[in-house]
Amino acid sequence: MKEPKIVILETIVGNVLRVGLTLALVVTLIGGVLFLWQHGDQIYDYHLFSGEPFFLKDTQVIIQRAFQGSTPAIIQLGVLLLIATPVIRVFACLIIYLYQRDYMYVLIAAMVLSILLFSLSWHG
Amino acid sequence: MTAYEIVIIIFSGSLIAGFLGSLSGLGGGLIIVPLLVLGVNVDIHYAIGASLIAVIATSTGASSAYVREGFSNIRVALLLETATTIGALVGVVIAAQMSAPLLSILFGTILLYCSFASFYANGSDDHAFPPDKIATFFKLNSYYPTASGNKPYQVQHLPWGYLVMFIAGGLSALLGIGSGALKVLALDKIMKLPFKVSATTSNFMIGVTATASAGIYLHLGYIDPLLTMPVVLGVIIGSLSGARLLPYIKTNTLKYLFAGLILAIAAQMIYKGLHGMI
Repeated sequence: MKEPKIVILETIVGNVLRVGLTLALVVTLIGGVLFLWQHGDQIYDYHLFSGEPFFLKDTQVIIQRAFQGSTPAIIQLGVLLLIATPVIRVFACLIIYLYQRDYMYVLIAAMVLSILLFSLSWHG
Repeated sequence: MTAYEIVIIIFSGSLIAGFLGSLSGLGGGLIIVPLLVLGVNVDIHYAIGASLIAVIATSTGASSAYVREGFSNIRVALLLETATTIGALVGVVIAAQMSAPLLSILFGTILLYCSFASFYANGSDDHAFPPDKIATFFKLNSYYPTASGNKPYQVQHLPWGYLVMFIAGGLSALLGIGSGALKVLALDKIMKLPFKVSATTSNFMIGVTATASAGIYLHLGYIDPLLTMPVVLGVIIGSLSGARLLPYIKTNTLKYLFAGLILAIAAQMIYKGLHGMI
C-alpha cells in the first residue's frame, strides 16, 4: 500500500500539471489572438530557415518582453510554461524518493533533472 | 500567406491530427511535421520545433489524469529517461547538421514503420517471468491494478530496453515526434511490462524526452510563435475531444484509415526528399 503522504503528494503533482498546462494554453491563446489582431494581414514565409530573433529565443528576454506586451513574446512565454511542466513532474519525483529515502532513485531523478535544466539553460 | 491564413490552416489540420492521433493511439505528433512541410511549405526545422511543443502538451494533458491511477511505473520511467534525454541531446546535434531533404526521407521511413507497427500492437497478458537480476537491483519489479486485485510483474531485459530508449530519444528530437510507438515496443515487447503499464509509462516519458530537446531548440530559434501557437492549441483540443469520444467510436476501422493516411504521407515525404523538393 502507498503511504497517505505519498498519495497527497501525487494529488498535488496531478493538480500542478493541470494548472500548469491550462495556464500555458491560456497564455498562448491570449498571445495568439493579440498577435493576429496586430499582424493578421502581414505576409509570412517559412520556406527557408533563418532562426528566430534573439528576443524570442532567450528565456530571460522572452519573459521581459512578454511583460512589456510584445505579442510574439507572450506566445513564447506560454511555450516556456509548457516546457516547465515535465520539469516540475521530475522534480516532484525526486522529492517523493527523498522522502522515501530511496537514494538510488533520488540520484537517478537528479540526473534526469540536470539534463533537462542543462537543455533549458543552454546558450548558443 | 498572411498570418490569418497560416493560423487557420495549421489550426484545423492540427485539430484533426490530434483527434485522429488520440483515437488511433498513434499520437498526433506523427502528422504535424508533414502538415507544416507539405501543407504550408514550412522549413522542416521549424516544423520539428512546433511539433515537439505539441507533443509536450498532449503528454502533460494525458499524464495529469493518470498520475494517481497506479498504472505507470515511475522507476522504470525515470531510469529509462536517463537514456531518452541523452539520446534527445544527441538527436539535436544531428538535426542541426542534417539537410531538410535528408530529414524528410528519414521522417518518411519512420512513418512507414509506425504505420505497420500499429497493426500488431497489444501484448499478451502473460507475465509469468522469473525475476531478472538487473531489474531486481534497480527495484523495477512492481504490480498493477486489475479487476481481480493487484497483479505482480517482473521486468525483463533492461539493457536492450535501455538501448532502444536511447534511439527513441534521438528520433524524438530529430523528427519532433513523441516516439511513442518505439517506447511502447521497448516497454511492452522487450521489457515485458503489462500493456496498460507500458502505455501510461511511455506517455510520462514522452513529455520529459521532448522537453530535453525543446529547451535547446527554443534557444536555437527553431520555435516560431506564429507556427507553434495554432499547432499546440489545435492538437490539444483535438486529442482531448478524441479521448472523450473514444468509448463511442469503433477504433479498429479508424486505425486502418489513419495507418493508410500515414502510409500516403510517408510516401510523399520520401518522394519529395529524394527529389530535393523539400
